[in-house]
Amino acid sequence: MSIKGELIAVFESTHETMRAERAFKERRIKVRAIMKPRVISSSCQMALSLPDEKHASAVAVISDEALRFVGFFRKSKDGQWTPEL
Amino acid sequence: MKRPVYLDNAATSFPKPRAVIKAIQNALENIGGSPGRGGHKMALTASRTLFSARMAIAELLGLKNPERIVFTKNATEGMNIALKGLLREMDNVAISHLEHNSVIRPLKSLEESRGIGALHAPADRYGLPDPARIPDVSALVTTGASNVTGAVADIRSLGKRFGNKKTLLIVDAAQTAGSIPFDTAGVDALICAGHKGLLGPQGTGFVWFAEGVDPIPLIEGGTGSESASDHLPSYWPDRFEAGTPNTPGIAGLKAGVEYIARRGIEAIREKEKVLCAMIIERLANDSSIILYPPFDLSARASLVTFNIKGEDPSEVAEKFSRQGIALRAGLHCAPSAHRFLGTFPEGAVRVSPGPTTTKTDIKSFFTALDSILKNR
Repeated sequence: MSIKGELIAVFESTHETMRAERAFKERRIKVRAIMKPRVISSSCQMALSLPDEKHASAVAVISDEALRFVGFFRKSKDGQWTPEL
Repeated sequence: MKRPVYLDNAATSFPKPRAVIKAIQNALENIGGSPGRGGHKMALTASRTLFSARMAIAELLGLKNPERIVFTKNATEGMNIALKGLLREMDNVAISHLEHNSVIRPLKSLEESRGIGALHAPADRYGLPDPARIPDVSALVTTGASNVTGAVADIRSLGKRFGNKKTLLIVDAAQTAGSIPFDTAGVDALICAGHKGLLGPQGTGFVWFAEGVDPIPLIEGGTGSESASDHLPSYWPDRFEAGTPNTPGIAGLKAGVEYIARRGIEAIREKEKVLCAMIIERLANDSSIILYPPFDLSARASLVTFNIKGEDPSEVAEKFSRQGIALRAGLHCAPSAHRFLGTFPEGAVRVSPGPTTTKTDIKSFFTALDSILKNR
């Protein structure tokens, strides 16, 4: 269940999401696989929820591992998902 | 009932490691969900199972880009994906003399539907492609090791010859994956059975494609991704895995791959060589036996093919079966190889030790052979 303010990372495919999950865990970034909100346009059904303070670390992992990444999205207080730049 | 001594590992390996059986049982009892379809815990566990299986296979076989491992139900399906997905109208293909019907039959179909021409590649003395004499063709298809003679192809040299060239190198590794170390550099498509040397259950296999080798999918359907589109996703592996996969089987395959990684392919290879040496030594010294080459252990996979002079190979296999020895006779779905060997159409008897075969098993085979020869 998503909570307000939640940050999620979306990847190209389930395989890529699993690859990201493994890479994040290896770098001790605690993530949780969730169903991707339907309003976020991506082919993959999954997303990884991660703590706010790990945003920068996650960006580094995505770059280091050349993960096929769609983007970060954040849920605002009014429940809307917006791209996190 | 006493279990037969199983010497038919070239058909499918048996017995499987306990870890394989446990992994399949665990998948059936606890995983349940469909991978890539749904976000509940069981579906996620199923997705992780497929993901980790791909990673384990890639690591064991040295394959880059694990997402390019496409799970299939066997090597035959993988070969069909490769041949029908990659070959175009009027392409010309060279094949070894030892190909299985998993190659011969799709190529015959493609000959009729797309005008593809197939010819035997100039061969070495064992019927395998001679890397120095391959003509300019669209693709070279070769077995990694023959399921009839055991002759092992020089994939390293073929990879060097064709790597990054316009000729596609398509390798049938059904008899080598997990059993014989080999270099995949230069290979464009690698086809593997999951249930032979990799020790997974029947109903598993895969095909891997190198970067830049992009076949047309063989089947279309639901992938759990891009569901609103009428078209398959463009990315791997989803593009080639329409339909619910065999998650319990793939869980078992993963356990088999991990088992091999723990033991080491080299160690398994050396053990099987010792067993094959025992068999060759016994058969080569018997004037009533016709033993087929290669005789050099380093040039053959873990199987030995022979005939008893004047005996129908199927009847010989039946006699072994009655004595509790499981082996395979006939054409082994590879009539071309038997033509090359001179054993067509009657075929031959094949005895194939596996990773769990013991010297005691081989001695039981000898005892049965002695009895069969004595009672002729």
